[in-house]
Amino acid sequence: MDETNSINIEQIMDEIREDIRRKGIVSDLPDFKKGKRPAEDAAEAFDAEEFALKLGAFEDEYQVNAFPEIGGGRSFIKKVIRRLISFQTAPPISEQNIVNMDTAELFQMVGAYMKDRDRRIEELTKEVEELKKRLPGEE
Amino acid sequence: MKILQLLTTLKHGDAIGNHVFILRDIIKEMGYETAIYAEFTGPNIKPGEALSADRLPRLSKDDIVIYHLSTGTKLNRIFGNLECRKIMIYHNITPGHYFVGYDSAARMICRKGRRELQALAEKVDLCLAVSGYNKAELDSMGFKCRTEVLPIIIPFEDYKRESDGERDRLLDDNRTKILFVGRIAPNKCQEDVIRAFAEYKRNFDKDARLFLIGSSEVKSTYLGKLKEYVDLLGTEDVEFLSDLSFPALISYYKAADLFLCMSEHEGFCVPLLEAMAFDIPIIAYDAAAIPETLGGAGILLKEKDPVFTAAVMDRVIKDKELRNRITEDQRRRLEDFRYDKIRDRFEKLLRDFIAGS
Repeated sequence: MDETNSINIEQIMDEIREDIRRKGIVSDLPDFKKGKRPAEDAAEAFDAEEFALKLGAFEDEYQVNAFPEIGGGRSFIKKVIRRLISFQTAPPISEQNIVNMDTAELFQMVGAYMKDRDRRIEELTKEVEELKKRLPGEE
Repeated sequence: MKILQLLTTLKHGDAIGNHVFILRDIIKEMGYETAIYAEFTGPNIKPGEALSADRLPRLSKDDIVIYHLSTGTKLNRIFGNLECRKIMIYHNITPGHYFVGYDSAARMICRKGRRELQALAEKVDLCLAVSGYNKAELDSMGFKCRTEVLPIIIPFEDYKRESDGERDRLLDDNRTKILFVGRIAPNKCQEDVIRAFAEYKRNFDKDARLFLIGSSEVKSTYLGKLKEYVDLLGTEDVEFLSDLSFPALISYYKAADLFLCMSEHEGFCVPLLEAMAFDIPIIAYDAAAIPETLGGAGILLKEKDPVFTAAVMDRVIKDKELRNRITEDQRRRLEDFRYDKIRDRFEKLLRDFIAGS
């Protein structure tokens, strides 16, 4: 800031702040409701048993089959067409299976972490109960 | 030797699009064969102005591709694998967390884009960041090549064109007009502009008007939430405008009394320079590349206090001496972004690169 200039912007800002402080003005306008994080919704809906069931299902089903059984009419022609375009369809399916495998492993790790945390919470809860019993007045 | 430009989306009227077309013209004037390749083109791109990125020709090791990186896209990987000389112009990628709760697709694309950018750290021969802020990001990501700052080239002469006469008449109403120009996007925090305006309107000038000019992604819920917020505040005279013609945009710039920016993430912020070109005093939140683009001009806010912001707005609008000081500083700052200065810098950087220095 050029302090030789007659207008000192920082000083003006300070004057405005001081004026607001003296008058005691605060904003009472409602806050903008930020976009709700998906995690907030998830936390409310979490069910451990449901999580375990879905994780088990995911582990069984995550592989996408590039060549599912083709039935119905003209199945031979459909199989030939599928073979002809497989150079285009197989690579992305293969890549997706890698992503799915990584995702399954990730969820397995999350599940293991949660079990570990639950165990640790249980241990700490027992410790707290024991310690509470030793407090004067609690015995 | 060919010098090609590559980018994901090309549109006229878009900061990156305008920059691409100007660079194309400079490269042509330098005497090189050039073309633009884009993954997607806007409806206002004429046939022949750009070719599909899928049709990128076979390149020799001497050819140069100038890639404009601004988002997550398969082009980031394709560019990295090109066997030619590679220049990357880094416009910045909005951090994905800004889109949480508004646009999950945009969030994923931005997060992916940052990972893809990191993967280019050893694959580029020259980086041109549009701001020092962007350069610092590239440095922190470990980009091995030379990295220089090259601001976006803005054809300021274009802003001297005729405005929209009908729009001028509608805006000629002696009411204070507050303006912000920028995509309706969560990182630009239009809600903070609205809140400060609401305080300004109730405490200082009940007749004031606010114009928020910018397009919005169809899938994003952010614009809807902003409109709900305006209703919640009970604030009138807030207008959301998009897809304006260039003459109409000029009308709003000409009519504006103040430019208010509360953005939290910008890689450069072209509208700040546009406001300077129209002598509109700027009040902006101190974040990302904004203080660098302002370069000491305008007023920077360290905090987002709507009461304080409103009081500063009132002071700037009413205090002629202060207003003149701000616009003088802004005019001086604008000199640093003169078309010929940036053009000459780009030419020198490109010549040095071609010469291998």
